[in-house]
Parts: sequence; structure tokens; C-alpha cells
Amino acid sequence: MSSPNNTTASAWSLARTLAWSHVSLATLTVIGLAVAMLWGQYRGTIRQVESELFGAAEAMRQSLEAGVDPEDLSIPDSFFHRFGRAPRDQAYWVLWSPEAAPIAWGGRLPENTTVSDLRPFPLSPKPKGPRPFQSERDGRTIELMVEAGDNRLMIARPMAKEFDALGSLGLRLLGGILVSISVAALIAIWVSKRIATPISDLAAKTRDLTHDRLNERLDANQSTSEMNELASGFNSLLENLERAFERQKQFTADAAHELRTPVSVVLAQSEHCLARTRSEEDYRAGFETTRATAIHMRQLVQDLLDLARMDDGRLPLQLEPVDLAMVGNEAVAMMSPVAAEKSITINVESSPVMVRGDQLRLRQIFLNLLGNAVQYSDRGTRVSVVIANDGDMSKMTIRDEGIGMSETEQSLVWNRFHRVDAARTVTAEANQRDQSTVSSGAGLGLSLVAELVRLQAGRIEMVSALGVGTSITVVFSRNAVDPTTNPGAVC
Amino acid sequence: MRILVVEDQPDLQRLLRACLEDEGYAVDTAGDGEAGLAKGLVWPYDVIVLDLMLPKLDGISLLERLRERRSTPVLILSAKDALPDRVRGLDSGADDYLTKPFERAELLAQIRAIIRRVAGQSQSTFRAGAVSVDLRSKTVSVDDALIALTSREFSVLEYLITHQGRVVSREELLDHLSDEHDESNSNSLEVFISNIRRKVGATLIETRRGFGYVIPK
Repeated sequence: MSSPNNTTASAWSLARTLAWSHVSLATLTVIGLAVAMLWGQYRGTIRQVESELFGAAEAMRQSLEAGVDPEDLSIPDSFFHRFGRAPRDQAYWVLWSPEAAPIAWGGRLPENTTVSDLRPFPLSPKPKGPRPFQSERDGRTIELMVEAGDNRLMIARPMAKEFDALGSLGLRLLGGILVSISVAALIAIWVSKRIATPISDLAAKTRDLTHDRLNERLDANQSTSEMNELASGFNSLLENLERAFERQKQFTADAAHELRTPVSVVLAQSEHCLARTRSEEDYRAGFETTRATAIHMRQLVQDLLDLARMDDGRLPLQLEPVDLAMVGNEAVAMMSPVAAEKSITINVESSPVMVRGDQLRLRQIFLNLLGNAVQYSDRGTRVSVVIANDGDMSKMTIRDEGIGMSETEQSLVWNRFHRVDAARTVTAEANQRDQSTVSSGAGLGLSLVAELVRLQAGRIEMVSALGVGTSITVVFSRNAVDPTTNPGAVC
Repeated sequence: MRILVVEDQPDLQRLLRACLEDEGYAVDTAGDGEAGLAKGLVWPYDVIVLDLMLPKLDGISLLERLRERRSTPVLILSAKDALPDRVRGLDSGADDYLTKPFERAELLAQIRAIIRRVAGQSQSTFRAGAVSVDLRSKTVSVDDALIALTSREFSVLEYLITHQGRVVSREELLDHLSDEHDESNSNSLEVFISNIRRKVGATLIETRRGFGYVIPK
């Protein structure tokens, strides 16, 4: 059983991570805001009450300074402007002598408290900052003390109402926090699903991918542009894979197909020899056929191997300065006996042409092109080879008077396993006889040539017309010949 | 029995001919599609063994054009082994499809099967009275006693017994017993017939004067 979690058993899923980070962010923000708000509210309330009490205390101090008898003092109403009457009714004051003996007091003392229970709290020598008073909070009561001459005047009032209000504000904030966190969690789950689901889909698709399902594609209409990019990237990866697989499959099928005929010959030949006792000549002929066929198959396998190596970039090339004319003449000498069987003459016109290349591979190019020229030419015709420098270029041209190719064929002829329409080859016998000396005769020759020329930094020009003949020119740039570089370099 | 082999690979063509001649068949060959079609239209072959990838005219076109005028049984022998190729070959009028590389034994068995089908029989042993002819082992027996016939004698008997009940003319017999290069005297046919009569019994093959020979049902 393969569930998406199997592969990430220890790791959190993307959806979970996203949801958690989203929710914790929201929670932190909301709680932070609530704490800041509550704290601000609390401080504001304290300040407010302190300024009320200070205002009243100042007024009372001024009255004392103005000579009012302490016994006649009272808290002026006008300083209490919040929370209705209760603070006013519950406020109280005490005037102490410097020896901390109560001189006078008023207002409504807290329950079960007498004036002797109250003590002035010590004043610090120097009041801090702009506040010319000191205050203390005793439980839910706030007390404020100022100096009045040598005496000390304390005025106080309970804070119950304010604290109750702060408490209920806190409760409401808590409710708000819970609601917003829940909403945030829902949004987080939705969003993370939206983001993570296509990713898990993609992962599932990738995991289930097999070579026979390469034609499947992802929906390129995803919820986010990043997912769209991912999906289309994945699709193009699939497309490339599918194409590569298809090419590989075709190549394998073609290779197998090309091997069928020679294998048939070997099988039929050996069965023929084994079916009954034969004459010595029969056996000899049988072995000759088997040998020739095996050589043909060896060439085919060699060509396939070369192509596969070039595809992987593993074909070692010994690049060194080479005289193209010398290589060309060697190849012509090798091919001449085959051409002579069809009464085809090969004319060579060459001057020394130095290029940088692999001598063996250059000869292979020549042999393939010459082989094709001979194979697709009528008896008694001519093949001409020209090797010369042309400005910055080194050129070798092989021209035949053979059957030629249509434009369609010219574009297909470089493909692997393509063969000029079998129905148009000159004779079946000629076709077969040349196979062991030329390349495999399996339509690999020209694709090999194309690859080999490309690897040696050359290019190919082809001119062909049906019934007139074909001319193929291989062009190397002369700048590529640089004697100073290491001639033994492996490409 | 006379067989045409259409195959462009010369080694394979030669080996197919040798293989079939070993079995006593008369064999003609063609190296390209056009020659194959021409021969197929001229001669009354018993079987045509046909390659598909041929110069000048491909096997399928050859088959389609042959079918316009002749119903000669065709066995396709091709390196193309993909299902669509086989289906297309059979739909174009082939009687069987064998892929390369092939086994000699299977090729011969398929040819025998085609010959049996044309004769309308499902077994490889044909009987007429006390005489039985086994196409597979190439043996003839009378009352379970084996009779030794030469290859040509067997071929004559094989053709007559697979066309049992039908009068076969001398020309038809000669057409089916000799290949295109065979220049043996047509008088030798009478020699073969009389040899067969001597070996398996005079009553088996009847002569219809002016028409030919027949093995009656």
C-alpha cells in the first residue's frame, strides 16, 4: 500500500506545516494585540485616576495654604468625572502631621478601617520625574500622597469599577482571540489544502509513473501560478521522456528487424547443412555464406555500438592533423574492387588538405559515402572524388551518376535505418554484394557519417536530383587545424 | 507441387530453394516484386512464399495485384513481426504469415498445411482404396506395406491424390511438377505413371484418353 505519508513518516506534511505556521502566526498576533491593548487600558485608567486624585489633592493643599482649617477640608467634587458617583462617594483623605499622627480626615474610609489603621507611606526624598506626588496601589485601592507644608496629605479611592471593566474587557478579548484563531485555523486548513493537494497529486503521479504511462499529462490549470509552472515543467519533462523512450523503442525495433534477415540466413543455412548429408562443396558454400553473414552482422553491431556511443558522448576520437587527400585515396583504393565488379570507375582529384580529425573515422566517412555512391549507381557509370582547399574551408566531394533522391528522401536519408526506397535500388544482387564492404547496409551508414562529421566540427552539403545523381560534400573549417594543441587529445 | 519463392536476399533465396527442393517441390525464384508478380500471374503455383520488403514492388502490393486475377495460396515470410503488419498481410490475401528468422520445419509444415487445405483435407495422410500417401513423411503404403517411390514418382502421386476425383491433364501435371528451368522430356511423365502403377497397383491411376489422369474417389 502506498500512501503519500509513507515516504514522509517522520516529516510533517506540507499541509500540516502550512496550517500550523498560519495558525501560530495568527495566534501570536492576536494575543500580542490583546495584551498590548489590556496593558494600555490599565495604564491609562491608573493615570486617569491619579490625575483626578492629584487634582483634588492640589486643590486641598492650596486650601490649606490659604489658611482653611483642616477640619473644614473636603474633597472637591469637580475632579471626579468618571464612573458616576461611586468613586466620589467612596473616596477618603487623611492629613498627617510630620510625626505621622492623623490631624484630620474625611470621606468614606474603607470598611472595618479606622484612621489609625492608615499610615502615610514614606515619601522618597525627591519625587521622580514630572509627577509631584507618590501613589501606591493597595489591593484594589489607589492612594496618592502629596506634601502640604510639613504635613502629608493622602487622598485615596477604590478602583473596583475600573478593574471590573478591565476584567470584562479581558474576557471579551479572550473570546475574540478564540474566535479569530478558529477562523484563522479554518482558513489555514483550506489554504494549505489548496496548496498541498496539487503537490501530493504531482507526487502521486510521479511515483506511479511507469514507462507505459508516459503519455499521461498533469492538469496545467492549477490553482497557483507556481503550481502551473511546476505542472507544465513536469509535462514537458514527460514529453521529452516519452519522445526519448519512443526513439529508443524505434531504434531497438529497427535494430532487431535488421538482424532478422542475417539470422534467417544463418539459421536456414545451418538447417540446410544438417537436414541431410551434403557434398563437401555444399558444406564449404554453407560455411562461406555463414561467414559472410556473420561479418555483415558484426558490421551492423559495430555501427549500432558506434551510434550508441556517440549518443552517450563516449566515442573516443583521436584528433590530430590528418591529410584528407591521403585518407581519401586509401578509401578509394579499398572501394575500387567493389566498384569494378559493377564496372564503375572512381576518379580522384586531390591536393594535400590538412584537417584536424580522427584518421580512422575520416576513412569510415569516406568508405560509407563511396559505398553508397557505388550501391546506388548503375553499371558503367562514374564516381568522382574531389578533395581540395576552398578559402578557409577544406572540402571533400563525392559525386555519383546514380539514381539520385527526391527532396523528401534527402531530408529523411540522415535518419537511422532509413534506406532509399528498396523498390528503386538498382539490383538486389548489387545491393547485397556491397553490404560486407560498405557499412551495415542497414540504413545506418549516413546517420553514422552525419554524427562523425559533427563530432569533428564539420558539416555536410548535399545536392541530389532523381535520375541525375547525388553529390555529397563534407566541409571542415581550416581554422580547426591548430598544430599547437595536443594532437593526442581525446574528444 | 510447384512453389514460387519471392525473396531479394540472395543467400536466403538460394537456401529457400534448396530447402524446398530437398522436399521434392519444384521451385521457381524471383529477386524482386515485379518479377515475382509476373511469374505468379503466368504459372499455376501451388504455393507462393513471399517476402514483404522487396525492390521494385513491395510484397503487399504484389499480393493485392496477384489477387485481382489469381487465388494462388500465399505464405508471407517477413522480418516484419509487428501485429499491424501481420494483420495487413493476412487481410491483403495471404494464407499464412511466418516471421524471420524462421525454422525450416515450421516453414515446411505450413506449406504442407496449405496444400492440405487446398485439397480440402485436414490430415496429412491421403487414402485411395488400399493405398495411403503420407505427405509429411513422404511415404506411400499399400495395405500397410511401405512402397519405395522415387522423388519424382512421389511428386506425381502427391499431385494426383491431392486432386483426387478430378481429371488432371498432362500439361497441368507437368506445370506443377517441373520448375521453369526444367527441360526434362515430357514423355518421362508416362514413365513415372507406369512406374507408380507397377509399384502400388495398376488400378489406382486411371487414364482418361484425351483428357488426362485421375485417381477416382
